Amino acid sequence: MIRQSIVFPFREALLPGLAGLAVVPRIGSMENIGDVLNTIYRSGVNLRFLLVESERPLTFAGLHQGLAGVPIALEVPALGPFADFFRLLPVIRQMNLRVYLPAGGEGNLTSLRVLSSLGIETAVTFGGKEPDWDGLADLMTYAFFGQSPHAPIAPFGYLSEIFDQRGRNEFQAVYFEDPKSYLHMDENGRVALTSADLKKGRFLLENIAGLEKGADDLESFVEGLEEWRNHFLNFDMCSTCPGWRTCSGWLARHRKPDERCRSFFSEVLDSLEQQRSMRRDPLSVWRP
Amino acid sequence: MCLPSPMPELLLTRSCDYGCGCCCQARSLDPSGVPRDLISWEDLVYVADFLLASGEPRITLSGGEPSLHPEFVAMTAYLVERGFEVAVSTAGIRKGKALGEASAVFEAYPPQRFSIILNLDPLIQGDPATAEADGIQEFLENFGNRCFPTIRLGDADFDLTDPLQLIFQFGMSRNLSVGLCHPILGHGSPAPEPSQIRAIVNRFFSFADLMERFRIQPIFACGWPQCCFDDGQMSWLARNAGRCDFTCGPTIGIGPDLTVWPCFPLNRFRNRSLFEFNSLQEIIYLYFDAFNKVKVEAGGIFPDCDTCRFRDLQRCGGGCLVHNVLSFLDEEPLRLPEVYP
Amino acid sequence: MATLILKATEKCNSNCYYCDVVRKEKTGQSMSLEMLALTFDRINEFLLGRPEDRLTIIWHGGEPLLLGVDYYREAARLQEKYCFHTMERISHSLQTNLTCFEEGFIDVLRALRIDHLGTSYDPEPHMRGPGRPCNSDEYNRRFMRGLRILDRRGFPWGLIYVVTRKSIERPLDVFHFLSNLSQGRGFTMNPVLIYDEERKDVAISPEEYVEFLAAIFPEWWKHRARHGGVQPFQMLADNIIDGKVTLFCGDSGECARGFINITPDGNASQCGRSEDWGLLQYGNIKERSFEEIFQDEQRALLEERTRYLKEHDCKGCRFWPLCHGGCPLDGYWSTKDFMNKTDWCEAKRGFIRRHFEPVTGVRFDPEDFEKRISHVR
Repeated sequence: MIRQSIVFPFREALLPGLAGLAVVPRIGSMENIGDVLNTIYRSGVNLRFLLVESERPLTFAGLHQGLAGVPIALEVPALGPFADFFRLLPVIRQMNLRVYLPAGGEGNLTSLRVLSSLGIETAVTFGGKEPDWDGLADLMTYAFFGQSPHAPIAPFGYLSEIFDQRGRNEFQAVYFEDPKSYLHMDENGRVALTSADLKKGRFLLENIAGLEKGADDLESFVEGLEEWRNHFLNFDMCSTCPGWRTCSGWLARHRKPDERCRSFFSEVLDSLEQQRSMRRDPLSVWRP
Repeated sequence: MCLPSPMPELLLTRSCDYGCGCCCQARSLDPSGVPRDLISWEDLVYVADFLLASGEPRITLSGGEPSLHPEFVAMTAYLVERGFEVAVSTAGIRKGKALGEASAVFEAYPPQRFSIILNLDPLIQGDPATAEADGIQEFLENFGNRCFPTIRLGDADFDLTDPLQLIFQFGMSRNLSVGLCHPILGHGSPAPEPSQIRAIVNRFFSFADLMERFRIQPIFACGWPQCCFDDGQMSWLARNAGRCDFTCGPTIGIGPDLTVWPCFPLNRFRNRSLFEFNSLQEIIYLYFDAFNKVKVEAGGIFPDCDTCRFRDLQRCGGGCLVHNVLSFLDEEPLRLPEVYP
Repeated sequence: MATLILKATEKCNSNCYYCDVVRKEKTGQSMSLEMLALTFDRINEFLLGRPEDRLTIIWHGGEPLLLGVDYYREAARLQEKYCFHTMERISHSLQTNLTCFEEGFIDVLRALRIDHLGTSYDPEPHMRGPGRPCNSDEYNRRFMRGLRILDRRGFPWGLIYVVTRKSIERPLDVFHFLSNLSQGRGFTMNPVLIYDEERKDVAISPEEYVEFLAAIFPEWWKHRARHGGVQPFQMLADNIIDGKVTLFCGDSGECARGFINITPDGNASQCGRSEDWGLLQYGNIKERSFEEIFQDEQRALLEERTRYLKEHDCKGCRFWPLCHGGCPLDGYWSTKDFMNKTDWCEAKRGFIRRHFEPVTGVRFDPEDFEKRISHVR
């Protein structure tokens, strides 16, 4: 039995093959989202959430009241003008939404803080333009130690929930890249462990039907989960990193590791330990 | 001890292009027109978190002129959305586009969540102010019913006719806050001599008929010495529901760089950083304690304050504390250390 | 508590650069099942004669897992057969390079009551692995595969790292690597011991070892909850700060009567190094019981050493209770005389004085420690 959710580019033709499974359809914009949802609801699949990869800022992404309650992970390049955002805020507050913003985008670190303080769940994404690491560290400090309750900022909020001081803490589930929770399928029905594997053609299976009995016993699945051990075949930037426990080499998939990310994730680890020692209550999402 | 709970005041910027006579930030905008000393979003979020964690849901936004901040509308909306009751202390948002944007965003907020403390000083200061006053009409058409008018009097040469007319015409609150220009520690801005205060009070009450006609109820802000009001004037105040606070206490100001101070005239008195405190109550206690120590060291603005029974009864604070602090500066430092800047 | 180092085989599938076992003339021997049976018989005899005592067996080599799953299955059967009434007082551990570890070993080792595996690793190229120069690539992959199996099956393991000249160039990198790999289980950092000129290129002096530790210690101390028990730091913290008495064998001053090393052909000696150097040989278990071996008069020499050093070379040393002159073999090498303190004396004292005490803020109190030792004993 497949316990993972299947992330796939939305095509109506693919739905019958996914009947009974939890799915994460990917769409490029909010246009025709109503039709997409109707198709999904009629198809017999279980919608986990919609992954919208918009090229427009949040304020122009097409959010509207009719989407209240629909779980949406919305990737946008930026927030958009603040004045427009505040006019949209009453709509956003009714939605079951997490907003993904790239750390390297201008003003995004500020936007993430503002959104979180207003009770809107957010996530920082990596890759693309290099972030301001100092600003990111400030945001991380806010995520862990902000004085007032605020919505979680992933991956920090997620790390805070799962934190194991001695073990590895993986947060790629926030980005739907954890094979224990998500598998990726292309428009031809081929399945891979991650979106990167899908792009490279490293398929787990040629067809989703082959996953009837689940993926956990497949050798390539097990191998994929253990890829992080390859860092320990040598002294490399990741395996010798003081902050390894909070990254597990994940960021190395997006950029060449260096002292900046090492310093940052080391600080994340210190902050998690401090937070744990302060025995804070779990952060709660604020909704009016 | 019962601590006061003043509404904290946050400066969005120190820059201002108005020319209010008794303000240290008058005409402080660069020739380039770019405001300086702007609060950042990160610091704004911090202030909001700090105040809410302290249980304080009210905030006044001021400056300089807060509407000069490029993010003024967004920052104000942000604070309202965080749950604050926001009062913006301004001489008016005059630029067309900014006013339009402000109207579009703020009109959705009920008056108790978003209000304006409208500084009418430019209107009472004569010809140079008139040109500025012309720009205020459009602003009042949009926001008049949210405005709480305020004036600060620096000399006996002023005319309240136009301001009182505007209050009535645009439906502003009938509670007119009347402040007195005080010296500002560390600045050379003009302020009336103590001996001139009675004349200012008399001039103000010369507009009593007009105030009665427009149903204006003046509220005298802190720092007015009670002895400058005669019995007739006190009686008028009592009958017309005006209020007068003759005491003096910390009001808590926060600068764009998160420096804190106890009140506007003493904005350079024992400055600290907001980051040094865990709560607003800690700040209030610090300055409340300092104020009490100043009052122990010096009676007030007049020599007679030392033996004044109203001061003993705590009905009058002996004028603004800044006068006392300024008098200490020229002495040998023999007093309690907390009374020095 | 007695410890038996059981060298079940001298065969090894690796040619680790700093290992002495593979360089010995006698190589390739494995303990026959008959000899293994005799070993268990001797163990049982020993424990029956000491009703209060316990015995720990450390399976060693060479690479002990080369003996195969069936061997250990048979070992469990032999233990049950010969030690039926005493096996509750026998505990086991096993030291392996994990490169030939398979799933099939798990249940068999558990049946033998081996509940923990010790292993060793160094990703430095050409340091571990078969061939000369060592093929470390394949070795490392197999090691990781073995580790994966252990983690998946929840089988506890511990890590030993050998500090070489390569390590001292980058102490914190090494430390974080080991901490990240061991995931908070803790690990041990032992200095490489090189006694020949041929491999001097990886040898380190005692002072260099101390500087290596000194570069790491503040990081460990600050985050010890995160890193777990890292040796030798944890031992020092346990003894100096936490009121415990947990000295290593060479520091306890009591190794004389507590250790026995047995080779595949049944020859008994004090420990692995003494066997390699031909010292402190106690005969063969075919002819002698364990009790006779533990009472061998040569062991009196080690007891005499402890008494002698306390009154001479180590007289007045504040750290005597923590060290007792160190391992007798460390003192033997340079002088060929057991009546010498360890060559690592200055290094050990220097580390505690210059690094451990200032960083922790705790000064070692020998009188307090002596009281605790006597209470424990």
